[in-house]
Amino acid sequence: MTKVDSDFTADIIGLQVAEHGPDARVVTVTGEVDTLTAPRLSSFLTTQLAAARVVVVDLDGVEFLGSAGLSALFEANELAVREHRALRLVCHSRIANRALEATALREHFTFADTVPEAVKDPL
Amino acid sequence: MRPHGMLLRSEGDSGGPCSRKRRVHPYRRRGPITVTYVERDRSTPDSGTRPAAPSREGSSRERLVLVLELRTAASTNVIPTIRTVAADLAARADFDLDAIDDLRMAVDDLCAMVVRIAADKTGLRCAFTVRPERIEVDVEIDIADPLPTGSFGWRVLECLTDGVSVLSLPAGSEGHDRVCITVVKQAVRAQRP
Repeated sequence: MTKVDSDFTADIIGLQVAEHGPDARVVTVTGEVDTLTAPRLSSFLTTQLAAARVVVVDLDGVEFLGSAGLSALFEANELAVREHRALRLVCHSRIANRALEATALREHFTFADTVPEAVKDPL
Repeated sequence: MRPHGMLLRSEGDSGGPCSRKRRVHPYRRRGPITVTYVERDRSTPDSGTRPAAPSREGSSRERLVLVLELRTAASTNVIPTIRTVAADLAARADFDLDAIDDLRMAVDDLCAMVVRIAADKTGLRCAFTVRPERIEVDVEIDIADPLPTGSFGWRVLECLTDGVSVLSLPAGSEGHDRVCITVVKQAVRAQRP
């Protein structure tokens, strides 16, 4: 992938992180998570999981979640399990929920209703 | 609902995650796509289907079959446009919200899958046939590797649609295999009074 392309995907997916104390981070994902943008999500989550014990992924602003995006989330979850970290999803995006349901991946993830709730729980 | 799930942040826009500008998708700036749009009467001979019976209240809309064909380079950059077209056609055809989302995701999945194994310099042909009760999507492409019909992505494709079929076509350019994959999605129409 060329440099131009990686800059250009920044228009499609939004990734922001906020620290909640020393142990928890909240990643807010907005926009479209597809073949082109999923690698950004993947590396972003890997970085956060290396830095914090609890990583909350807020998917409320997700407007598209394709197979590649689901794989990125799934792999981040696997990584969290291996490293004894917690990956928690907050998801009220209808499109993202539909994708998780249609692929029967929902059961693999831990969900919380709200971000404060997800952050509050100890590991 | 917003059929185009699009987010654009302009250059240097440091606004919050939800700041939205004019809704021109950045992907649109990439690569030409040729579009052919045909509207034809359903009673036109059509691969073995019988002419539509003139129903009592058969509006002209009911009898129409819309065919939209996109021809483009086999590039990941065009996939968002193609999936958006799919979702938009389904929304206009009054599909229910889950069916629209499923079709959007299925088309994305299918295009991403074939572009990954596409032969060099091949074009991608994607045709949507919109019938009152279902949409058929044909994706035609020269491939350099076999279709991953046993993969997770393929299973997802089967879950999301009401039928997936593969047709081998006479060999494509430079001896590559040419395939046409057809997926069918039923409208599962929303409840109406």
